[in-house]
Amino acid sequence: MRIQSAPAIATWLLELFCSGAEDEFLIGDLLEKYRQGHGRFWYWRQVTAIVFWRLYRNARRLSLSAAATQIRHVFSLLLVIAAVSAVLLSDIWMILVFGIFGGVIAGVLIFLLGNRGNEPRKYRAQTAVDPVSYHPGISIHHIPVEGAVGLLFVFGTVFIFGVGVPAIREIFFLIAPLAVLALGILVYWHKHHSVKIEALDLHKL
Amino acid sequence: MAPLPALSNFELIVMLAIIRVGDDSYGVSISNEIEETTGSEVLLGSVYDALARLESKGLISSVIGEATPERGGRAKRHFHATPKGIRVVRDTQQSLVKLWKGIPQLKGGEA
Repeated sequence: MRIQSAPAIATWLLELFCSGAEDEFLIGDLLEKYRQGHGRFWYWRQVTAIVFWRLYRNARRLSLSAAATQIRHVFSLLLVIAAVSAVLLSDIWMILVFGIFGGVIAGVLIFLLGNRGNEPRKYRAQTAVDPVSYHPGISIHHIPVEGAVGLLFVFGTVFIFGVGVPAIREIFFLIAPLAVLALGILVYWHKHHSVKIEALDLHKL
Repeated sequence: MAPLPALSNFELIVMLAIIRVGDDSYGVSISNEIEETTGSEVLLGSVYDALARLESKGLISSVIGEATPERGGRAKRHFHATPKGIRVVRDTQQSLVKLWKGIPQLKGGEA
């Protein structure tokens, strides 16, 4: 028996927005029902309803503060990429040396200070409830914040060496779309390759 | 004893469809049953949302079934009404029947 293939783009959209283990059953049911004799329009209508309802539900769950945090991360990442581009596109190689050196030092300092502050307390509090899913190491949330602060050195160095604000601004606007794309890839990668660290239970050894 | 959870109109329809279909109740058979009995099309996403709510209330339980080629190799999820779910449906039916009685506008099949 020849199996009728469902609209590929609609299925791709469905798998993109409904990637949980529970969603496998829904996608399977939708495919089976489509192959019982429903048309492509029916399939698209079902997929659209599922995707929009899922987006609406997720948006309602997202609090204002969580949304602000996400926006801050996006903005920080934009800054990072713009700054890196400014360095790479300029002829002044000293900027690269100073910027990266300063950025690495600032990033390490912030990471160490951050881990000595609230992080361990938060870690202990969460491990009591969920020992599997949390660890105090580097997460996706560290990358933009520490990177952005570190690369403020780059901006400073750019000023010192006379590149000036207009050049940075132009590069920033040129690079912004690329930054959004990069953020999308980063978030997608984090979603599909997140590492869970299991708590070590010495009694089981 | 804790009060039994209330059912929305669509949740009641989904519960009844699960009970009617019996052992082979999964997303497709439940939505087909609803469409055949009510005569109107349902969104599979809505059925799944209702199923999730019913399961969180403890009115239905589910087991993972077999995968078939027409489902793209994806497994089925079979749903069953729990004793608590049956009790809630019966209570809802009794409440509705009580409300139905003694309404002159609803007698004789004409509004």
